[in-house]
Amino acid sequence: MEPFEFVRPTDIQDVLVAIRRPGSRILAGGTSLVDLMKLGVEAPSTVVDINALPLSMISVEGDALSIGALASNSDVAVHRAVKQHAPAVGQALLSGASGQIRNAATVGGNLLQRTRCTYFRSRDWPCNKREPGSGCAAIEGVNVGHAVLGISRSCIAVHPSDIAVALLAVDAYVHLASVAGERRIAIGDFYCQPGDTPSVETVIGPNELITKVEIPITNLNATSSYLKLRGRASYEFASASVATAILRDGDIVIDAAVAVGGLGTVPWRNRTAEKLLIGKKLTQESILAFCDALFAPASATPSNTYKLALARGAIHRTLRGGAEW
Amino acid sequence: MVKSIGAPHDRIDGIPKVTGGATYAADVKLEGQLYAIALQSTIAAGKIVALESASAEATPGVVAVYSHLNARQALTWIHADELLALSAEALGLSAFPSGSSRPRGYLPLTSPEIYFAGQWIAVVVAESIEAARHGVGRIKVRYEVDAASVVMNDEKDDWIEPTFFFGADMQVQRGDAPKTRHGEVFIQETYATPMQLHQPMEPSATTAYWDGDDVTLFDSTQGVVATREYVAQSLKVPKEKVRVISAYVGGGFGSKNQVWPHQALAAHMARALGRPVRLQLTRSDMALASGHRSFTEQDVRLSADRDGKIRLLQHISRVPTSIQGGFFEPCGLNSLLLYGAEELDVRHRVSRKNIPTPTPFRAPGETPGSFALESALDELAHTLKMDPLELRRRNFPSRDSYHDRDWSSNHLLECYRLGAAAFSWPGRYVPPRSIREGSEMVGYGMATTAYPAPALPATVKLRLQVQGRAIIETSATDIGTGMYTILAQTVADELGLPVSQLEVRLGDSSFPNAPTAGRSKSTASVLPAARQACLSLREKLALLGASYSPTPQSNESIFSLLEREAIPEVVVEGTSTGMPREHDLSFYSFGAHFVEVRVDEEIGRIRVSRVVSALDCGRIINPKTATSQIKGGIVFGIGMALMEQGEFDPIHSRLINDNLADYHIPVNADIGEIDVIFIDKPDTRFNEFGARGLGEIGVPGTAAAITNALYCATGKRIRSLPATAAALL
Ligand SMILES: Cc1cc2nc3c(=O)[nH]c(=O)nc-3n(C[C@H](O)[C@H](O)[C@H](O)COP(=O)(O)OP(=O)(O)OC[C@H]3O[C@@H](n4cnc5c(N)ncnc54)[C@H](O)[C@@H]3O)c2cc1C
Ligand code: SF4
Repeated sequence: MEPFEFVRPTDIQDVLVAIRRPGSRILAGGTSLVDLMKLGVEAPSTVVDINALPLSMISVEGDALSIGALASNSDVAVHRAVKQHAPAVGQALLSGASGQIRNAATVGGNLLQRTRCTYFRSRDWPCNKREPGSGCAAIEGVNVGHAVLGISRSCIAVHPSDIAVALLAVDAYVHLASVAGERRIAIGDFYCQPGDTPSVETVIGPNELITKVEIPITNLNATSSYLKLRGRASYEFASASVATAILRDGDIVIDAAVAVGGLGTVPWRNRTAEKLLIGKKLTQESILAFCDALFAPASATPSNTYKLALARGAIHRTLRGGAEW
Repeated sequence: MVKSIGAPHDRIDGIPKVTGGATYAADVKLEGQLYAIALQSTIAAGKIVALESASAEATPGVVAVYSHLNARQALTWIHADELLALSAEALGLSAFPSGSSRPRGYLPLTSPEIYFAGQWIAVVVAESIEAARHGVGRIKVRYEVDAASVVMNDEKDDWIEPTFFFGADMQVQRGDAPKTRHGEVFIQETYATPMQLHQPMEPSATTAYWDGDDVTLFDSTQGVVATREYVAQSLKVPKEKVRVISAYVGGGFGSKNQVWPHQALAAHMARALGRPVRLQLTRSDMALASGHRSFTEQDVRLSADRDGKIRLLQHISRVPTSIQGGFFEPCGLNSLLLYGAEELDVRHRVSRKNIPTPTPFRAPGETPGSFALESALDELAHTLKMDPLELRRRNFPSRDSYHDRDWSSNHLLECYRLGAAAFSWPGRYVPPRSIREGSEMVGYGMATTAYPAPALPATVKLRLQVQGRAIIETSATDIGTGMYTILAQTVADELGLPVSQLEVRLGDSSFPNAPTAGRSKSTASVLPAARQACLSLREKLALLGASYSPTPQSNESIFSLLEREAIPEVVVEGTSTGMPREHDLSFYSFGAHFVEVRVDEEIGRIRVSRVVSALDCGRIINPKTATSQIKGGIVFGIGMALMEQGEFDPIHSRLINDNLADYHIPVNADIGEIDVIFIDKPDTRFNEFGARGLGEIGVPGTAAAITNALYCATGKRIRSLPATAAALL
């Protein structure tokens, strides 16, 4: 680990000023940042601890559920309003990491955690995400866990966050603040596919702070659920995961949202494909047609093609209502 | 007084362990202590052409950097044959035909040659562990890269045929040329097991400090005596000058069974720098610098008559070892002993690869070997449409036909019977894919396990002090097995004292010698020595005119006797003799695993919902710690069956999952019900306790029982582990 300067402002304005320093990094729970610093992947010159800021509230504000950036993964997971208005979000959080990590980890940090690509996590390998232009060791390497959607010739790393998948299904917004002011971005526009610049992962600017996440309170979102498949029963990232929400009138689907994790370089959703479900009964065929459309752009290697089968299975299972996590 | 042996006693080291009272090697903090961390090679074959350490040396806190450039002079760190012979590198070398240029083992920091990726090429010593790591990151290395090979390649590989290893011939051919005869059924398949990492909870560390000419090592090892030997040889000091302490070991599983260079290196650095040094292995080092279980490929052919009597068993193993080392997996061991086929063809071929030297890992040989053998038996049973348990019964080995000896005791049929009953084994042929419950396919599988019961001489010292202290000392280690507790139980019974009044001290080379805790031999080696010590104590007391034999009637404690006779302290030693010499018998433990799996095929979810294992390990000294050993072994088997797999990058030939995030082992939620049944019949021809060790026997067979159950559930045969969702879909 490289030595660094440590600051802990108590006022949000001071934080916004501090993070303008070049080479600074925000520290929330530290479960991702400190880990990467120990691995030598992150080497900030200044660490700006934001834990003194009052950003851990979870509340209902009008027709939206608001979750502060510093709310812990554990607190959000069991919060009544979350369970009521966006069950998939709580389930996604509970499916992640371990009890100790969830206690320390925050929602803002979770959205910005880095990929688990092994090659990214050690300085010994070429990796375009860590060191632009150095190449990608995973493409010709071991890529059992890598992405099949949204990949590029520069990077095939999977996006690791569970909550981001659930937030995508419930059309959440991320609120950002900087000295220049505040803005709100739909989660669907928040993440960037790698393209030629895999080191750029989100649209968030270097001087911006996530202040909260906002989830619209809708009938659809209240039906949401999350199913995560992985190599062991807990304490493991998704091989494939799916957040679904579905509203029906009798047998007929009137609204649907399906987001997929573990497969994409970003949390994955396709609204055009979802239209295939609407106005119809949920049958084997309609779900199959939806999956075909959703996964049409997929490009798998022999070692990670199983993910598509898993994701299809998970979508069938959750849409037919048998979701358990 | 209630007998302590046979009672489910709590671990006496349990409380210190869970309250932080137990001091492990890396917990030791001495005045002026320095910290050392190694740098690993990033290439798998070639040479270091430049190693630049100036900026590492200039890093704040860094005290020294050692590499092949300066270790010889600065540390008197020299590779020598006498040293090799005592090291992990040498295990197995004697099985390689001489004549062919036998390798010399490798010692890090002695040459610029690179034999495998992850090899230590420099060590940084600093005032703190952070500074040491920081320094490591600043060393610049340039290599000349050669082609490396880490996978088997039948055509291109130079195959070596080893001779004798683990007490058995590695090239056994008995009977006719291996052919299937007319009217027989046969199966012939290839099975593969992956590289596995020990990854005990406690990463190895050695803290060394010198006091004049004497050096003490706080170490994490399964064998303090063997470590002392190696370190003394390396330092070129008499072994009386070296003391190795390993009072607690946070798991070893074989990774701390042999002696590795870091253990001596810490002492060399402490000597050179005149300050205590802790050399700390990282999680990654635990995958690379203290051995692993290598991958294996095994061809098995079985021929049987229509009634299932196996006539021919062929088991050819292709296994790797490192470029310089000797250890390879003797996969055929159980095939020599189980099932009594009249024609046996059990051979091993070894090929040298750019991998770190493999080493024993909880039931080496038997574990990967039993996966192949027990899978093949299951395939044969399905070919015959026969209950796999019945097939095994019909091939019960009534004696050890390989060694042409009787068993000292063998209750395998009883294991089959009791295990099947407890499991509610179907007891008929169950065709694959015939049981569905809800969204899950259900399957049952079973396998046999067997493991030898060795013993070596050991000595235990007993000190009785009039103030009411009874101290038991031996250099044996407790690697989580329960040695502290069963030693106390043994002495408690002999002296009529409660376990709570005994103080057991282990893992110190200044205590009387006991063998390294490996190959399940500690119970049978150490307990008889403890009993001998108790007998000597009585003799000594008798000589002093104070005879002591506790009876339920006389409740005088041994301490009041000392007081009455004004004896302040009695010190005695007892020594055991190792293997019984009066019988020409085969000493083995046996068992059977029964497994239920549930597979949700739509979402690729595999669960091992139930395991019942019935074991014949002689008399059980402590059912609680014994059950925990077997359960641990079964959990290892579950990990092996479903998850564990060391993976090499195909281009750079470097292990990529050298950490616990990427190398998957089961978590609690993966483990269903495990029911362990002991036959508990004493093997009186083995030792006076009738007890055989049981640290390893839980592992062999478990993976095969699981994949056999997966076949029953899904109709898909997994011949290459692990059985992941991807493999099953
Ligand atoms: C062993 C392990 C297993 C895990 N398993 C899972 C899993 O199964 N599923 C899953 O989804 N996650 C998993 N995680 C990831 C875990 O959820 C994240 O590490 C955690 O949520 C990050 O939150 P944090 O508060 O600790 O972030 P930090 O480590 O403090 O920060 C992470 C990043 O976000 C930035 N950041 C933090 N807060 C803000 C903010 N308010 N504004 C702007 N930038 C900010 C930091 O600068 C840093 O770059 C796992 C982690 C570990 C270590
Ligand atoms: S997949 Fe992406 S993160 Fe992984 S090595 Fe390639 S560029 Fe780096």
